[in-house]
This record gives sequence, C-alpha cells and structure tokens, in this order.
Amino acid sequence: MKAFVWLRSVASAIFSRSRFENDMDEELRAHIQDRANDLQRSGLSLTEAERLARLEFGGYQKFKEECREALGAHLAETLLQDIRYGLRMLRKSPGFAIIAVLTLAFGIGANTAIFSIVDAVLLRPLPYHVPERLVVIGEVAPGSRGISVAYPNYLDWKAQNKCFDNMAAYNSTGVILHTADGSDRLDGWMVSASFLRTLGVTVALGRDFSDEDERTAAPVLLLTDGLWKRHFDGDPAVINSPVTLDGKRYTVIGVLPPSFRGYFTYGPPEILVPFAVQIAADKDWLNRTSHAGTMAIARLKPGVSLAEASSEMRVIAARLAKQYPDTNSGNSVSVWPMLDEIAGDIRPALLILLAGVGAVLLIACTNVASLQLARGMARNGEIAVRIALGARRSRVMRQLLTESFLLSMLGGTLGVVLAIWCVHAVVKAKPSDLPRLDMIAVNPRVLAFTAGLSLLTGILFGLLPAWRISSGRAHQALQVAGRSAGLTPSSRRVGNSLIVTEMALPLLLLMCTGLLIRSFARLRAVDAGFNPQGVLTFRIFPPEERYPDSESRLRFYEGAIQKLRTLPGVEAIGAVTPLPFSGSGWQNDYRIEGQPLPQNNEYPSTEAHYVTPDYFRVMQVPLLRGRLFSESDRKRALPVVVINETAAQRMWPNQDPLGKRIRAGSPVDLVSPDWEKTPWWTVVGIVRDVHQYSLDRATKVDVYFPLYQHPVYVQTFVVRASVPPLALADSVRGAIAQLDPTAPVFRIAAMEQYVSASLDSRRLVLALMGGFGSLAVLLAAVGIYGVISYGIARRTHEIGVRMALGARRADILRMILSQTARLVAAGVTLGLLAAVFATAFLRTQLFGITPRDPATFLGVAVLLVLLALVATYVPTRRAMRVDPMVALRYEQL
Amino acid sequence: MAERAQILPGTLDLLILKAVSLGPLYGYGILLRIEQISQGALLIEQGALYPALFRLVRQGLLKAHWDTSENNRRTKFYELTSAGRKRLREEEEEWSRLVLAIASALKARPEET
Repeated sequence: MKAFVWLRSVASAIFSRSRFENDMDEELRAHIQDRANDLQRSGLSLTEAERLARLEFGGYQKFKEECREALGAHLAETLLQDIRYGLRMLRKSPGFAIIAVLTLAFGIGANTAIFSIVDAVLLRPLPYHVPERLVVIGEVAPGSRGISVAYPNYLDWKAQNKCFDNMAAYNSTGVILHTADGSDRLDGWMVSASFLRTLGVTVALGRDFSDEDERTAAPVLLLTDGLWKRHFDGDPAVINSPVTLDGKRYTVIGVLPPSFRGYFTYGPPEILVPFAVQIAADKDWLNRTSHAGTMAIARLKPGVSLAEASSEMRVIAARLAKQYPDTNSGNSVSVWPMLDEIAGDIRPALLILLAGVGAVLLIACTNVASLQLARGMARNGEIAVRIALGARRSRVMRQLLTESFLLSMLGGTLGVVLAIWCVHAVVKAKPSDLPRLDMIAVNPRVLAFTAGLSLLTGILFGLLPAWRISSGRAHQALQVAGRSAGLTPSSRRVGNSLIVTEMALPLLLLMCTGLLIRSFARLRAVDAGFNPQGVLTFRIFPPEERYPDSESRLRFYEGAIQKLRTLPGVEAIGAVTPLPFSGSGWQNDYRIEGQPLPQNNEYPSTEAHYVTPDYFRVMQVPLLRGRLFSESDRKRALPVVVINETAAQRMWPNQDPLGKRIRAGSPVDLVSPDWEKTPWWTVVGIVRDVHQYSLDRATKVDVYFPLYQHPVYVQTFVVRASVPPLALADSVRGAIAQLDPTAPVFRIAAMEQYVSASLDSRRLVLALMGGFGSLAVLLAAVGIYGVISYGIARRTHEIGVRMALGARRADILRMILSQTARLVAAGVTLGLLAAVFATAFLRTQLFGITPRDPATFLGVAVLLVLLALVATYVPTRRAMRVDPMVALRYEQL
Repeated sequence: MAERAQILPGTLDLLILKAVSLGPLYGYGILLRIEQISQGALLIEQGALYPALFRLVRQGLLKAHWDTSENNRRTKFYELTSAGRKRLREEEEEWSRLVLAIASALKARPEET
C-alpha cells in the first residue's frame, strides 16, 4: 500500500511536474501573503510586512526542494538534473566525449550488425507454422553421410509412422514455361500433395494440392507470388487458367503467399508442381534404388521428441530393409531439425563472429572505463568538494553512472547508424552461402538488443570508475587533488589490470584473425586441379516434348556443341554433369573385377562425372597416363572410363589401373546379368585430381564416363574462351536460338565465379574478423597509451624527485619501461593461455594449419608487445623532458 | 514578548497532527493554530511546516484538497485521515509517558553523603 502511494506520487510528480510545481508555489506564496497581511494589520508598513514575512518563512527554495523530496519527486527530478549536468560535463571536455562515444559506437555498432545477421539466420524461426517441430528426413547408406530418399520408401514411411502429423516429399526440377513471349526456364519443386499442409502454409489465392490431385496425377500447379506478379501481372483470373509447362498443359490452381520461401535443401522455387505427374511420366521414380535428390519433410506430433521420431524411423527402415533386401539392405534413416538444414553450415562461423564482436565490445568498455577513471582522477577536486559539502557517496555514484549511460546511449545511437551501414554492405556483397539474406535487417528486435547492450555497456564501463572515484574520503581527495601526488597503490592496481586486459583481449582476437588469414591464404593457394580462368559455363534445357529420349537429347547436345564451336572466341567446348563447384554430385557404388563382393551390399562409392571428349581440354585437367575420351567412344564401342589419381590409388594400390575393369551403379545393378545396362568399364586413362566441391574438401574417388557412351541429362556446358568469358554470353544465346528457339539458355556464369563463391563465407568471416581485429588493436593502442600517459603524468612529481636526486633519464626510462613490460608480459601470457583454449573453437574454419599454429601465435604476440612498447615509450619520453625543478614545484601548487 | 522554546526535532509532526485534528486547516492556519494552542510558547520555522505536511500526506496520515480560505485565497487544506487520527493518539500517549519520565528524572535530587 505504502509502495503504491509512493509510486503514485512519483508518477504524478514526473508526469505532471509543472502543475505540481505551480501548486507548490501557490501554496507557499499564500502562506507568505497571509503572514504579511497579519503583520501589516499589527501596524507595519506594506514593504516592511512583506520583508518580515519572507524572513520568517526561511529559505524558500530549500523548503521547496524538501517538499519535492518529501513527495518522492526527488528521484525523477535529480535524474533530469544529473543528465543536464552530465551533458554539460561532456560539452566541457569534447575530446573525451568524442573518443568515448566513437569507441562505444564501434563496439556497439559491430555487435548490432552481427546480431542482426545472427537474428535472421539462426534465431528467427522459419516462416512456417511452429517451425521448431519441422524436420527433414533423408536416407543413410552404409559408409556414406546421407543420401536422398527413394520415393517408394517415403510412401512406406508416411504410411507406417506414428510420430508425425504429416509428411511430404519434394525434389527440385527445372521446368520451362512457354508463354506468348517465348520460353522461360524456371526453378521448380515437385512436391507431394501434403507439402504445404506439412509446412503449415496456406495459399493466398485459389486452393492447395489435394489428395485427389495426387491420386489422379492431375496436371495442376501452384505459382509463387513473385512468378505470379512477374508473368501474370498479379491477375487473380489466372486461377483455373491453363499454362504450358514443358510442353504439357497444366492448370494453375493457386498462388502462394508472398512470405513463402523454400529455405531447405534446394534454391527457392518459383513454381510448385505435383510429384505425381512426374511419377506418371517416369516410372523410374518408383524404383527403390532411385535416390535422385528427393527429400522428405515431416511435422513432429506435439509431445514427440526428435530422438523418439528418429528411433521409430530407424525401426521402419530396418523393417523395409528386411522386406526389400536387394534395394534397402543396410540403409537407415536420419532425421534432423529443419533449422539445422538452413543454418547448419554457417552456424559455427556466425558464432565465431559473435564472440569476436563481443571481445571488441569488451575492449571498448575497458577503454572507456580507463578514460573515465583518468578523467575521474582529474575531477577529484570537484568530487571532493561535493563530498565535503555533504553529498552522499550514492549520490555521487549516481551522478557518475548517469554520465556513463549518457555516453553509452550516444554510442549506441551512433552504433545503430554504423550497423545499418554495415548490414547493408554485407547484404550487398551477397555471400552465396549465407542463407536468408533477404531477412537480414536492423529491425525492432535488433534495436531492442542494441538498447539492452548499450545499457549493459554503460554499467560495465561505468560502475568501476564510479565506485573508485566516489570512494575517496573527502580530505584525502582534497589532498590528492591539491598536490598532484603519485598514484595511490589501489588506483595503480586498477590501471595495471586495465593494461593487462587491453593486451590480452586484442591478442586473443588477433590470434583468431591471424589463423583465419593464414587458412584463407592456404586455401587460395590450393590448386583446384583445373584452370577456371577463361571458362564460361551455361546451361541449355532441351524441352522434353521435343527431345523425349536420350538419343534425341544426345543429338541436340552434339548439334549445340558443333554450332558453338564455330563461334569466334571459342577455343574448345565440352559438356559435363555435374559441374565442379556447383554443389551437386552424383554417386555410384562400384565393384572391381576379380575382387570378392562385400557383405551386406556395403560397396565403396565413387563420384560419377559424365563428360564429352573435349571437357578435359576446356578445363585443362592434365592427363597423367593412358588416353582421354575420343569422339569414337560411343554406344557399341568398348565401354571406357577415365579415373583420377585418388581412384587409381584406392582401387588398385601398387598396380597399373590401365586396362582394369569396374562395374558401377546401384547394388542391384552391380550383380545384375544385364550387361547392356551395367557393363564392365575399362580404365583407359588417369587424370589429375580435381576438387569437385570446394577447395577445402579432400578429393574423392572420381570416375569419368563418356557422355556419348552413357547419355545423361547434360547439366552444364563449358567453353574455353580466348576472350573474357562473359563477353560470349550473347553470341551463345543467339546461336542456340538459331538451333532451337524453344530451348532456353540460362545460368550463364564464369567458372571462376563458382570457385570464388565457394570461398564466400570464409571471405565474409575473414573480412569481418579482420575488421574486428584491426578495431581491437586500434582501441587497445589508444587505451594503453591513455592509461600509461595518465599514469606517468601523475608521477611527474616522483620523476622530478628522482632526477633531482641524480637519476639519469635512461634510468627512469628503464624503470618505467620495465614496470610496463611486466604488465605486458602478464597480458600476453593471459592472452596466449586464453587463445590456446579459444582457438580450438575455430577448428571448423581453419584449413591447413592447427588451431595452435606457432607462427601465428608468435607473430601476433610480437606485434602487440611492440605496440605496447611504443604506447609506453612516447609518453615516457615526454615526461623525461620535464625540468626537475618544474616537476618539484608541482608540490607547492 | 514571552520567551519561546525551539521545538524538539520530530515533534513538529505531532503538533501538526494535533492542530489539524480540530478541523481541516490550510498551511498558515496550522501555524496560527499551533501558536494559539501552545500560547505562543513554541517557535516554528515557518517554511519547515510544508515539507512536514507533504511528508504526512505521503505517509497517508493527512489528506489534502484545494479550497478557499477565510481570506478569500485559494489554497490547500489538510485534514486527518483515520490513520492520522490513530497515529495522533499513539504519539500523544508516547509523549505523555516521555514527559512523565523526564520530569520524574529531573525531580530526583542527588543524595548527600
């Protein structure tokens, strides 16, 4: 009750301050008037009566202040006072204010920027209904990390599980949309009818796929909002209208909401088509050995944990393996949260960055604390007078903390500006493996984080100085202020610990940055095994209705290659499936002729590549032994393959692989009597190892098949150009349009872009960490310089005495340097110890060096020691130049 | 003028409560009432009255409202709340006990040896 009354009076005091003040004035004046009237009646003159009334009343302002205090208006009132006073103090020392605010702005700004990325990528739930319950399910083959799902297995999972509310299958597919203006190649996803239901997404317009559509394989489709606006002008009449897709007629049944994004496994789709239609067209989808990129998603039932779901799914998989031993034996299931799917790879990098900016902020806090402290000591006189006049310690501390908060709020505001700019730069750089770029922004959540961070920062750097400065007993403080005496032992201790911190934190940060830089340099130096410079890549999509089988497609590919070869600027042209560094890979199991079959179908696997004869020439992959493919390696000729060095060593250690034979395919194919479909392939050549996925992954067992002998869909055409590769784009498009205007050319890019993109996240982490490291060093240099020059300034008197007693400058220099050196050594030791533990967390980001790389550790330590020595030497030299007499005279001041 | 006694610290609240207990009063009126009931024997620093009044309001012992005084001036009137009435009774008793105790202590004569 009391608290409530008090709160109410405080609140009313704050919110109706002026009315409260007026009322108080009116009441007090009425009193004086009444008194004056009475006095006048007793015979005094008017002026005399008023004078006496005021005199009797006593200190008008003092009582008003006491009234305010009595009512609780006190707190709010003094806060405003403190803020006004603080602003005045900051205006009086603009140098300090600017440095402190800038330091904090950098610290808080960097943290805000990184947090806004972390918020979008790691923290913000997916734009689906209760995203925490969504999981992705894949199959696991023996000896491999994970494979896609065979559609019939998905159907069995869906029918047999009890732990999911819903399950859906999806796969990526390229489709061609034929419109009046020509053909447009779109990224599509083929999905089971349950797809949107599983995600909890409802269509914005029209209707979702139904089970009836799925049963009848009805040719219906859903448009994304973007495609709908781009191609159909956002016209709602598009619902139930026909469109031609891949030469087939489909009916548009719905439009997805603008917020819909496919964030998992594949690039975002522009269009959704029913899986059932694809299955009706190609029965191979119903083959249990066909793991062609299909994945499953499912929604956990409320109360079912991921572990429970995993174990149930493994039971189902084991049952299927028993039921279909030829196809499923050894296969298991893996279930993981959808959130991991999105941020799994980038998570460690982001956490490292978060730790990095945290360290920067700590250094910034240390700096401002030491600045505050130094300034506080200089303000000792002022504070001492206030304490002597009866200010309580809590009052003085509150004043000092208010000043800290002012600084941190100013720093935070400026920091937000820096962060917006920084986030803008990151988003503009479009690092390829940073997911959900479009969601990264300085939003209200981020601003709330910044506000909290600024407050915390204010406490962090304000509390220690406030405590120390306000602790001086009045007479002692007055003494010290008057006499510019040496540092008290405790204030020296505080200064020392600040120096140690200023050494250790930047050291740690620089260690990490150094390791990343060295890793990046090593990675850049890695030979991809081919020459991406001067290579143009693009895709051509032969429409299915015109090229229904592999023979006709092959004729189209050959025609395209013939035509493009004659273009000026084209030195050589080839085709490949899949393209290195494109992220996709085709795996085959294999067996070697004359070697025993493994148990439980646990065959080793290869990476399969289907190439035209000139592919090696375009990519400049050197042949080591034997021969490359020729135009005559076709159907009905001897089936031949080229393998890489790793394959040669793995398959036939210490033997000559040339002339040896392998079979490749699924476990069923490997023992099938169908020699036509699964022949024995003779090794005719060995080429150098090529990095197929990224520079930091070890090369695998690669087997190259001649595309003309083993026709598959061509993923990508590669051209070695004698001109800048992208300059060829238009002539390539023109030539293909002449050949067949219905076949779109898309994803035109230089090969170098693919290789470079594979380093994007490292480049981003490196750039940011490098920025943080430099910032840390700069801040540390300023901080160390500040603490030391302040300490030396306080010791001018002592130095004067020493010199008057005969100490030489060199002696004093040595004394001060050796004292600092001890602190620096302590800081370096502390930093190194911390680094030994902390850098282990970097492991995922390192390449070619250990987390305790001695060269990096040594280099960084030497750099920081030099920095500290310079930061000590400069102010010390200045102190040396002081005339001993002047220094001594300080005492009389 | 008769000699006036400086009031003891802490007794101002009691005097105010007593003065107001006889009916709602404004600030200057309270001052006059105290002078009147103490027969002018107590000296009060006039301004000090107001922080005390504000404090008593905050403690819920007094309540205030605006009204017009007999001098036709708009000002704030104070009156006792029930909590204030109770407090006044307690303080009166406490005070009487204290006065008795001090008085008897002062009456004691040193024993002669």
